[in-house]
Amino acid sequence: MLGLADYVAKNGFPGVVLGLSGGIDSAVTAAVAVDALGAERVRAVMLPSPYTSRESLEDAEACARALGVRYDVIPISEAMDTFHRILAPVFGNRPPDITEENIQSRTRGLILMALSNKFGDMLLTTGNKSEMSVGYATLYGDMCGGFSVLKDVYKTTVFALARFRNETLPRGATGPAGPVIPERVLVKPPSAELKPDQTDQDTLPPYDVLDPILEGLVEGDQSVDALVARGHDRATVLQVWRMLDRAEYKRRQAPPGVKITPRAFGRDRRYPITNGFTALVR
Amino acid sequence: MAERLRLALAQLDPHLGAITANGDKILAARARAAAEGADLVLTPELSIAGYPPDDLVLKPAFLDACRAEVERLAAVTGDGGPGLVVGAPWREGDTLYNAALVLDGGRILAMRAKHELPNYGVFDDKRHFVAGPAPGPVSFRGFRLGLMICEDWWLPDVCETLCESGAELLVSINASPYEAGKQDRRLSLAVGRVVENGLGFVFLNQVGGQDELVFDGASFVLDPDRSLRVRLRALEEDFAVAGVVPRR
Repeated sequence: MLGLADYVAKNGFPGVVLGLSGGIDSAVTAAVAVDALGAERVRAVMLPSPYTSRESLEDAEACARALGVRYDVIPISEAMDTFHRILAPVFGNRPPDITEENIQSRTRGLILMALSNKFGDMLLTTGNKSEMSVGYATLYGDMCGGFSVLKDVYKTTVFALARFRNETLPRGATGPAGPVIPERVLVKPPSAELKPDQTDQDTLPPYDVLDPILEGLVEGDQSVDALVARGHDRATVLQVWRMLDRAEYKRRQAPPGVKITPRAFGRDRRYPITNGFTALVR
Repeated sequence: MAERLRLALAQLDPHLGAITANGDKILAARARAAAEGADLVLTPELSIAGYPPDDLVLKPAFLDACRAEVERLAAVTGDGGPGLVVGAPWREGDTLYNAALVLDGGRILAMRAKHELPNYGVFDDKRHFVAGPAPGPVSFRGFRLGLMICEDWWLPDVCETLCESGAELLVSINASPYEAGKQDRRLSLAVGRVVENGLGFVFLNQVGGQDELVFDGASFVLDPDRSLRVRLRALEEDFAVAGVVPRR
């Protein structure tokens, strides 16, 4: 709260804007923003696509209402259709893949940046440390923004923060007391909702497996053998190591955010992007 | 004892972190040096790891892999061919050095740790390394070499210390990034060191791109009379064998 409040105040922003997806990261980010800045300085936007579930729409709205922030809904289907149409002659018969998922994410980023420009509010990016560790984020899409509240917060800690905030109003918080994050957000499987029936676990190990491995690699500088000795699956550790190294280029272009762990990405962990050691790790 | 030392300058483009590939590249340069009758092959600063490795050196597994590669190359020098100067992050106890290792006769003949650790501009050496003691010359096949790592020769003290303790030639291995006007600064500074100490001077630089830095090579050898004996190409890998006569 202090880190965000001072960043906004000392850099002269009137307030912040963020995309509310119905997921837990944006809900916790919104709650921190409201607690730090007051509801009148936070603007939330839902940007539904055809893959956005009814539950997400309801949860985003419920969260915005509970926090008392201005809430707009800007559907992006038309914009996505237009992108697909104008790209079709060049894409030819190539099948849909992650390109289309990223167009969706970048469409949202473009609209959020437009709102930021028009009203002067700083855009908050809502990604967490687990995602940024393994590159589960779209550069120039959901990574758009001036500041990242959860940059150094692992996903398992995001869940803990959400539960904490629903039970306890932090000292000095300007947001409302009581639950502000719908219970359903805490229990549904995390999903980027960039294609039908997608969940994060299609691509990533479960967060209760991923996060301890990341802590070993990032905070502990541990070897694969050391992590396997602690009971982790070797293939999973190797997969996470590779994803971690490959995502360095994304992290180098990510917004700043408050450090809370012993080793935060940024000036606390200075890694080469071009790194041939990755291939030597067995 | 030969008066002339035949030095091979291997101006290499390492792949940062690709330790085994870097070692193989060094061995390829050594094979060429052997064919050309060289006594000693110089490779750039941290040539085993690539420079700058940044926080990779905080990983014990990375340091272990670097050490194993240095030992592999040392064993190869047991064939009686040219010796090798390689650079690697080098742990002694709890202390991590930015080291130059002299390999000859199948073993690690000597280690010298970088004494001046730059921490300005793009450099972050003090974050990772401990400064070594002021170095003395390395005895290699009857020659006394004043072996330095990059920043060591940008300030006058290390060269002066080496000269006073009997060095016959100043030899620096470098990872010096390009910026406009840099080569003029290197050359005029190197001429200064030659004049101050009356010794020949070798500048062997890394070449290649590493993220936002480009190392431009352009290695050279200055004789004690300040004349340019050898000059390697800029912005590409290059190799030359220079016969130098250390001051006896």
